[in-house]
Amino acid sequence: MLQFADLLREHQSMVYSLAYHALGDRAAAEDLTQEVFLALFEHLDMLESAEHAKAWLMRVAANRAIDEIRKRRYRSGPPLEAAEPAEAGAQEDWVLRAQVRRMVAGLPARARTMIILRYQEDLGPAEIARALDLPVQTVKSRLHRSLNLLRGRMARGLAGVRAGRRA
Amino acid sequence: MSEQDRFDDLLRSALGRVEPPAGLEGRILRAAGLRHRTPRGAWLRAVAMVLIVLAAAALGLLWRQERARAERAEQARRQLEFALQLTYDRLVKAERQANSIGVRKIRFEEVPQ
Repeated sequence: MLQFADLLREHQSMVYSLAYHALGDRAAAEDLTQEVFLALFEHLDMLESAEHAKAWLMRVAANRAIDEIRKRRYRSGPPLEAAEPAEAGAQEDWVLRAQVRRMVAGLPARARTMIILRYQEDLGPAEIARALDLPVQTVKSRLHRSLNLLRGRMARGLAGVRAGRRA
Repeated sequence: MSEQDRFDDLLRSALGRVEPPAGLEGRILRAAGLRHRTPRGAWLRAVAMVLIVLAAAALGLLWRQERARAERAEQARRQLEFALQLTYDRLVKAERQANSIGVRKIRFEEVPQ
């Protein structure tokens, strides 16, 4: 019998991070995490193993995040972290990461969730396809398109930063 | 390190896991505990089951009553058929007796109640 508290402790970080990166809002991410775990609580007797529970959580969290993005039409990126690092190198990384998150947040709901699953959870296209109930080929082509889009935007963004520094 | 690897690393570090706020776990456990004490789904299922059983019992009762009524009607129909057959036989016999003694016309008189 799976223990709810154990599953919560083990996977809350995965669900919360997915929701946070998808919605860019800590309060909304908390609400979505709570909703997902309460749904897990109701379906606990239908889940056979810890792996099954993890896959279930990922699928439900990803799909609810997509619904929530579409409902709220989130377009703005996540807020920058509260404490800005003092060191120059760390500061540059921090700005870069914030910029990447903002660009990811500009992607359509499904593409955004695919990128998050790919880089947050290190999932391959087949696992993402299972989580989002899509054909693997669709996931591959959308990931490819989204990454090209992000790469182009990143290049333009970095060129802007360098030009600003030179000026 | 290739351009692609650098880009992947950048995405990994930007989209890495974020620690949830400290109170979230407790909040979820409390909400789940409340739901456990008042399992709305279980209540609804129990009420639905009771309603289904009551409806099935009512339908069963109606069906039995209807079957008993149909049996009584069939019995009455058979009794009536038997009585009519008996009356017909008596009348035929009476007619034959009347004919045998030469009565051509039988005059009926109303029997006082």
